[in-house]
Amino acid sequence: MNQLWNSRPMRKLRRDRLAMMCLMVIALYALVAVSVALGFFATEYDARVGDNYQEPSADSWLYWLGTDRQGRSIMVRTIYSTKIAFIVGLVTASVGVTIGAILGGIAGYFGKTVDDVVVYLYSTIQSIPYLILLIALTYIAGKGLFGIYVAFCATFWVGPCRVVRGEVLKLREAEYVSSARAMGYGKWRILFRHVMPNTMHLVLVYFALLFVGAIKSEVILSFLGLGVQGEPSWGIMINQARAELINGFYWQIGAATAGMFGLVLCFNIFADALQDALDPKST
Amino acid sequence: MWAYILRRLLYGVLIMLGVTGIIFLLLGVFGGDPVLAYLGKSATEQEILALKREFGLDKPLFAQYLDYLGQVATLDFGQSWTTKESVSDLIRRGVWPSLSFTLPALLLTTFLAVCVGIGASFFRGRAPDRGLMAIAVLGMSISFLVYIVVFQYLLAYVFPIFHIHGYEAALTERWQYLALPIIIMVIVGLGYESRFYRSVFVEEVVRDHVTTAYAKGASRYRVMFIHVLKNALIPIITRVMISVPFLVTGSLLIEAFFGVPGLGNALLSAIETADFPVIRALTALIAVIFVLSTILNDILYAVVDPRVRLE
Amino acid sequence: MTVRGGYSIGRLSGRPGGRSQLLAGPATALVILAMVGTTGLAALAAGCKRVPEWERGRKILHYPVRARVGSLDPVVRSSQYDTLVRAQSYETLFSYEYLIQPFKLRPLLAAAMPELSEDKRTYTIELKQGVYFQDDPCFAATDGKGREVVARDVIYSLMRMADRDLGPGGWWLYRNRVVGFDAFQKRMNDRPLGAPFDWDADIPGLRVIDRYRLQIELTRPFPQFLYILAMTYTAVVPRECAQHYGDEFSSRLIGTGPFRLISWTRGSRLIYRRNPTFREERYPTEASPALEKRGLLGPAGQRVPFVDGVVFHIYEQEQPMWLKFRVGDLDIVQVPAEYQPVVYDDQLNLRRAFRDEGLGHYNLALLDFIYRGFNMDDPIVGQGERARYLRQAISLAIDTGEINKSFYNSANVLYDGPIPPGLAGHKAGVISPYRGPDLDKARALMAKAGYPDGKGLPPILFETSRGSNIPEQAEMYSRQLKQIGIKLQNNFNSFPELQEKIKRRKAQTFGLAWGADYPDAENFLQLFYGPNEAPGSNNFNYKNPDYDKLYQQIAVMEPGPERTAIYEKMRDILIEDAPAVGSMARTRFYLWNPRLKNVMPAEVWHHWIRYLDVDIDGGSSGPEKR
Repeated sequence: MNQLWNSRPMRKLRRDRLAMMCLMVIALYALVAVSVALGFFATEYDARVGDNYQEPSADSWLYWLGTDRQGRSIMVRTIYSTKIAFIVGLVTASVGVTIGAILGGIAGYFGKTVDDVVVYLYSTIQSIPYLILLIALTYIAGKGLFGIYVAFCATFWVGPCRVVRGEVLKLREAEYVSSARAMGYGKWRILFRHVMPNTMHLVLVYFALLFVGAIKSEVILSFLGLGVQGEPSWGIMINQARAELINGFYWQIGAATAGMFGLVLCFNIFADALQDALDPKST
Repeated sequence: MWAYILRRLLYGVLIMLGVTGIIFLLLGVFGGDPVLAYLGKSATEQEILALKREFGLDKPLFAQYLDYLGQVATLDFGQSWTTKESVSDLIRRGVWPSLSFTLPALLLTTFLAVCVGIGASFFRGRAPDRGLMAIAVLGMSISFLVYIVVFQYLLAYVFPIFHIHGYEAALTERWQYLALPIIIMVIVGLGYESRFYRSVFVEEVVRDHVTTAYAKGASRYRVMFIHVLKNALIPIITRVMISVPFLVTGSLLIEAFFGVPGLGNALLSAIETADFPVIRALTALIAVIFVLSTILNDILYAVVDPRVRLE
Repeated sequence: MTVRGGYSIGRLSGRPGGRSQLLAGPATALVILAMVGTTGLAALAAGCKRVPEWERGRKILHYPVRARVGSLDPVVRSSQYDTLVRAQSYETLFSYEYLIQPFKLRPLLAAAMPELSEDKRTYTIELKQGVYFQDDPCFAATDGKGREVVARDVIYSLMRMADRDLGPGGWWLYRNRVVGFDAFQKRMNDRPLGAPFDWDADIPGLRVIDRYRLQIELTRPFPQFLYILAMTYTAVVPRECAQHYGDEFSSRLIGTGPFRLISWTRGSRLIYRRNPTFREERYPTEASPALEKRGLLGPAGQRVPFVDGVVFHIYEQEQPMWLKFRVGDLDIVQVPAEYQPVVYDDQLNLRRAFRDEGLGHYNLALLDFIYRGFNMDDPIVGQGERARYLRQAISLAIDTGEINKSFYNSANVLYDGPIPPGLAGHKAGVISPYRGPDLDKARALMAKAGYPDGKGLPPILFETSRGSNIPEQAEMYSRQLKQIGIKLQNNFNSFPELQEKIKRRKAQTFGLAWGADYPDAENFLQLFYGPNEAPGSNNFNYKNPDYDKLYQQIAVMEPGPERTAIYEKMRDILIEDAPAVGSMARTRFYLWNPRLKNVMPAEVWHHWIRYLDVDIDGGSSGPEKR
């Protein structure tokens, strides 16, 4: 890890002040998420703390963003949603990227039938309308977080798989790979020790993209009633609040949008910088 | 070339088998028993059986799958279980309303994004580039749903610039209703697209042949349009072609909020009412379009770029 | 699938400077062009609203519909909104008095109320003469002119309920009721696929006497039967048209009513114009005192309909519907719950700003039974003494008041038992010893059930739908139950999933609502009748011999204090056994623009649109925002 941190791309990344700021914001979000997960605060996301639709006030930090239709603190719920966003983002992005990268690597490196099968698999998945697939998958996986994981992972692996496969196809012909082969290393060893590490830049970038994608798609799933159950999430808050706007009560939709905006924005900017820094073509 | 197309079409058939298989399994095996919902408030076992027979759900699974394949092959998907209208009619009616806002939105987005991409790539690394890209990222970081709800309220009600909701069959009036949906789709899509095109152009403008062209004294307009834009055409085409299948399904949220009677809405209500014939038909339709558009994409490649040969 | 060669997508960080500076000109030009393009589009769109030629100077009613309309065939299963649009063209034998409360039937296509035989089983019905179907090319024999409605048409329309291919909706209402109907239906269901439907079959209980008279014979007395003949499922349709159009028939309206459909853009709107061949019908001359006071007898005795056309606009979302109403494009609206706090004060009166605009309003109490039900087959919540204590404890832990306040602005009526307000057998106020919230009592019952503070009780599954704010309500419900140590696990389903779970008895507990088919408590009491158990309408699988005996008794009884006494007894049994708890009935808030006249909304029936009038001379068409 230390090696990666001190490598040239990382030094470049560290010089990018905007990216570093974004990383800090992300870290802050992560800190909040972890504290919530550990139960340090925002545990009472479901408790009535005041009257329905209370305007924001400075009396208590619970009231900073007012209360929702059930008199629950919007502040607490916004904070708690950070945890859900991170869980959904982390789980689906890491599982999706891992599946995609491994399949893509194997397909690209071994070629032939394996390649055909993997390409066929993702071409098929890609040809199914996203929405239909997503909803059909929740039929099997059930609703709530687990359903979201399954639905997202089953669709999200396609992107990284394509890209990693393409990269491995190129790397396979690289000199150092041929020499590794000449030295008699096993195929799997070459693939995972020598080839795959060189696709890490793509994997990292895709991780960030999928993380953001998952958080944003959760809003749509919530709109369809397939979102998180029993806990608040930004998507659920936005959906519960979308009718309140006309009443002039925009705290809930504003809070959830702002919470999501900060995280997604920083992730996007950071992903860009990461991509720039890691791209072997740039120096 | 014809051999290539034929091969790709055969492969497309293979994909269709996969797509139909997956959807059939997901709906048929795991989708529960839709019959009970159709019988409504009260049913008897005898009626459940009768309805299953009518829906063809009493046959063994494999026979049901063959039925489905037969429907795909003949493009006759029978009747909707909910409304009893012919599924082909339903699709035919829904395609145009959807296309009439997704297509302009795509073209406009692509046009604007190419412009922004050129602008940003020109200033690459400097303030205007960073500014444009920052705006792009800002736009991408807000949920589509929030855009719709806020814009409809602000731009059609508080400041009545656009129509709130509605649809007209006559093209001369239809676009008035669709202007706001199109603008929202452009704003949401613009971030992704302009970032993409920026990277494309950044790559193009530093290529050797562009440098050479300048060295030969070509005017900057000539370089821009002949050399850079021409080479960037391939990624632009690919990008547009990828989007084609999604044009047909329209947009669920836009259609729901702005009252466009398109396929996005039809799909949602089919899913909500477990209207399997409609879901199956739409899946097959979109998969076919997807397969065809990838083939077309590859052919266009070869047309635009002589370096690409179809084998 | 990828073509090799060509180019690769990768991002380069910029290398500033260099020759490409020369591109500044075209690049800037393009960006400017793009901006001009966008603003141009916006400016063009601002063009003002155009009223179609035909509608100019005519009275057109604009009415919102809150769901997609599926089929227009009256026999096909339907939502309330399907029924609304069908009923403007199709008519039933009977309907309701517009201005008389509570509900009172009146003849619509029938000439008078029917004659009932001595044994209360046979109805003799005479049709109005001179009622014609709307003109349509399918009337080949008369060159497209609609022909007169005859008794045979009524019988034909009722027989359509037995045709499984049509997807009939309300037929279960006369299951086991009309002599010979069930046998006929079974024969038709069992016929080989593709075999023709026997339209000319003789069903002993459905008899034509002469051109205008028919007889319906029931297996046993069923005092609510006339209500069924007022449901749109039984509307009269012309046989030759149904057969001429086949499947297409479901996208047409060829009825006898005051309006005829001239265009239907699916998912968008339905446009109707006045039916020129509509019979002479007049505005009611009698009204309940309360309604007379509202000035509803103004046009008494005048010929209806008043408007020249009706447009039903379809809305999938509430925001655009509400905004359209506010700019005056819609004449009337059901105020969505989310917007109620803005429109009504705490006493549910219209707020001043809206009163000043001259908006009309009416709060309609619906015949609704919103409940949280238990599957009585379930060992934990259904079977035995302990389960009953548990259900009672849950009933005591629920605070319907809080749910009402948070989600319905306290507009729902809370009650006990299954009979909603407005029907005989209902009693206002708290009549149940298990009405929540009473947490001490609930905890005591939990202990009695053997689960002190919830110890030893596994999580309980609550199945509900995922529509609008239902998941949010479930969250509140589980929060309330947590207070007595019950862990409620919510499960949000699509409607088909929910229906399957309930009808297959896989739902341990569930949230659902029953809307009245007709205004009689029997329609609610049958939900707990043992033989109706799932997949029938008894979702609870509640079986109680005493209750069943009482039901059999009331099923054939005429309305009256005697029957009401038994209704109350049955209601109290259900309160004690608590197979369903937390009863609520919704209130629908109708709001209309000043130009709309004679409004008295109803949702049990839908033929009242014909009495509405639109004032186009008054100038103002509501809150003009444009």
